[in-house]
Amino acid sequence: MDAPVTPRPAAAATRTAALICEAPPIFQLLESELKSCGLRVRQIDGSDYDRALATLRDDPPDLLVVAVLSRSLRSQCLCQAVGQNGSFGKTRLVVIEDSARAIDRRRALAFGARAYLQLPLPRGALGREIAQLLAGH
Amino acid sequence: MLTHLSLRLRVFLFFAALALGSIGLIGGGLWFAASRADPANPAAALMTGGIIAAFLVAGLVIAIWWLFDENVAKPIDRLSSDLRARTHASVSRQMDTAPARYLGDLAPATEAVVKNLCSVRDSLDLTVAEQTRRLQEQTAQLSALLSDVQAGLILCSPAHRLVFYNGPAVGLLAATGRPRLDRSIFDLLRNGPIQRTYQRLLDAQETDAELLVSTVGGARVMAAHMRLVSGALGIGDVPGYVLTLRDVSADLQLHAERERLLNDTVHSLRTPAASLRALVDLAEDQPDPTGRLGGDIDHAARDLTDAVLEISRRHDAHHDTWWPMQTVPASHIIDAVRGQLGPDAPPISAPTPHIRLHCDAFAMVNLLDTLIERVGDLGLATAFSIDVTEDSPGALITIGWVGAPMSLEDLHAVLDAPLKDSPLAVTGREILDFHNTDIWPERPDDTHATLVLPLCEAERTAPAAPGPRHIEERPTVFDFDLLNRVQDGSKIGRRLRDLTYVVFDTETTGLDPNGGDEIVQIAAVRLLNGKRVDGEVLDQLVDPERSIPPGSTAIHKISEAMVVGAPTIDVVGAQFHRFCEHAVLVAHNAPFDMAFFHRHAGRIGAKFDHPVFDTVLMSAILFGQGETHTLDALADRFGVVIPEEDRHTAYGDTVATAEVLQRMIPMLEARGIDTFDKVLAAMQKNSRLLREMKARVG
Repeated sequence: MDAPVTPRPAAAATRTAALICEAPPIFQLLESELKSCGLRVRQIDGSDYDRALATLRDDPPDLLVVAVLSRSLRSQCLCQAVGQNGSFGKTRLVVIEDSARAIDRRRALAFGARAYLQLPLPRGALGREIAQLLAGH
Repeated sequence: MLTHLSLRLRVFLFFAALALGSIGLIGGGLWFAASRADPANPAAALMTGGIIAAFLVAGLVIAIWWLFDENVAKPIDRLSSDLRARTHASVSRQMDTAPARYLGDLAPATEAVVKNLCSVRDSLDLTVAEQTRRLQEQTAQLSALLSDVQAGLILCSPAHRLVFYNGPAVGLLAATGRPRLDRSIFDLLRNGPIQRTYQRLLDAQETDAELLVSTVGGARVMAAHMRLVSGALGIGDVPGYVLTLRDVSADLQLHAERERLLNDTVHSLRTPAASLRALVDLAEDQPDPTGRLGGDIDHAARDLTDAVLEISRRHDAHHDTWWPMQTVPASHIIDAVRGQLGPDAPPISAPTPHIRLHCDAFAMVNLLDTLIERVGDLGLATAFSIDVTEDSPGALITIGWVGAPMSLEDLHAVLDAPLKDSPLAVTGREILDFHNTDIWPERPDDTHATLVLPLCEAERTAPAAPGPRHIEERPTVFDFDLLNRVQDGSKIGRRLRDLTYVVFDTETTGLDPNGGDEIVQIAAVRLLNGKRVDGEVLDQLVDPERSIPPGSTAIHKISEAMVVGAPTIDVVGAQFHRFCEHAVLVAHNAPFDMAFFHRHAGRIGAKFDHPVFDTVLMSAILFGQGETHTLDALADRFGVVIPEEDRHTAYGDTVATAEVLQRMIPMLEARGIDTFDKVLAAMQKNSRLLREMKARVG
């Protein structure tokens, strides 16, 4: 059953989002959800930690969505580097993980995530979360 | 007066006075008759004189008897009771010889005998005490050791009755009922597996067997090891057995859940996967102009992902493991980390945490130790702190230092390597998974760095209160004399020493059990083989569900505020009833206390139809009805000291009554009253006292 259509945030048109995800189908789905929220999406290659961090530092996005798959260390490191770093103050971190363990959610929040979602994602869940995040931004 | 006269002379004087007095009185009577005689009828005067003389002689006899009773008979009675108390009840207090001052040399002679007896006994006691002290020290050490054994240990006699149990056994069987010495093991564990295994070992002449047994009611399942024991423990031809118990309920549940999950995984994935595969094969073989096949593939894919999602949810939600865990004080873990790092390691500061952690302590110490070493090796810190704080329902372990944080890469490198000294080369990551947790670096401010490790389960503990009245939490309880005890169930003809007693006392709101007064406190101790069982004590406040008069509070010091939240009589009464199982109840003025339990039998759900001994009546048997039989008087007579702070507390009076009973038993035996039924018969003889006691209860 399809989820209800998420209302597009009024001021979201100029927002940017960076997306790190190493699984192409999931990346496509996330990208599509982000775009449907009116965000300008760019892909960051998370396989090279230093380059990814430098890219983010050069142009900090309003929203960073990281899909942590199979407890990927690189993805967690990027989350920590952004979430616990004051220079990324304006970037909202959203972690999406293939786990239902409470401790993983807790770790992500400790790393500075503003929202935590589990995979597989119900359709529209990311959009609703982003709408809430950006509404208070 | 005339205390220097000998007993013989005194008795002679009694009789001489009686003879001379009688002669005088008869002579006086005759003189009276002669002086008043009518010569016409001398018989009438003689009759009057004779009657007067007879009454006077009777009066004289009564007066002399009274003097004899007060100064000779009663003091002899008291002297003999005192002698018995000192001979049989080991009372060593000096005798009060003042009442026997008219007994000539008897009192000083008795005093000398007692003195001599005490002196011999003292020197013997000294030798015995020295040996006993050594044995007690060893017993205490052994008890402490056995209390620290994590497995439950129970030793049973050939009659399947408990002779020994340690603290963990109490915890394991708590849901069924508390283990108690001489209690049947079948009250706690199902009898089938135990009896079958025991019989099999006897038949096969083997000594060891493994068995699975559940508690009565089936709340827990235990993996047990049964080992027959004889010889060394002084058991006769038929051996007893030791049961080593381990609770495997959680393990079994976990395995069952895993098995269920695995089965469900296979069943729920098989069909959607087969359907998807079939549809994909179909799509490869034929075109799909209508797009129906695509829709079906989409449908099958959704079914498959739904199934995977559900299985994942169940897997992640129940992330329990079979990995062995213990509940350990956090301070022990910190001490162990310090100890393992050694004296040359960086200093570790840690406030005393009053928390017990549920974890694999060995692995946790290894992990913390490895992390601290690694942080030191990386040059990030030269001193550390370890904080263990509450993080309901678990705890949070925080390793802190001043300096740069540890990177996730370094942390994961540590976690992905096998921990040192770890069995099966288990890695830190696996240890964290077994605990269903994780660890990560945090940076609380610009100068400090931490590693944060939450634990799912922990319990807060109160700081240890210093003081002499520390009660051991999980004592080891045993009485090896029970091994050779033959059980016949009946108490008739049973020796007093062989009976199990529960000595108890209550504190109440007043003295009228049938007029609305209620129990506010109850205490009980158990006596087995004539010895008090230290680990088996009941001491409980009771909510009386009514007000406590200030006059009563002044006596027992129990106020209304103290009983708020305490269990009511139905709960405590049932607990007390279980405590009294198979025992003879003993109380001082028992009808009073028993009246409360009889009145509440309906609420409690159990009848108190146990045999009852009353120390008031037993005192009357030993010392005569004319003596004082209050608990204070008995304690004084037997040299039992009741600390002032314990007087008129249920526990204090219970212990005093128990000690009085322990001293009474040998005295009764010395009088030939050495069995249960003989005591009952002797108590019945004091019917006047019994009637008075019952009348007071109403």
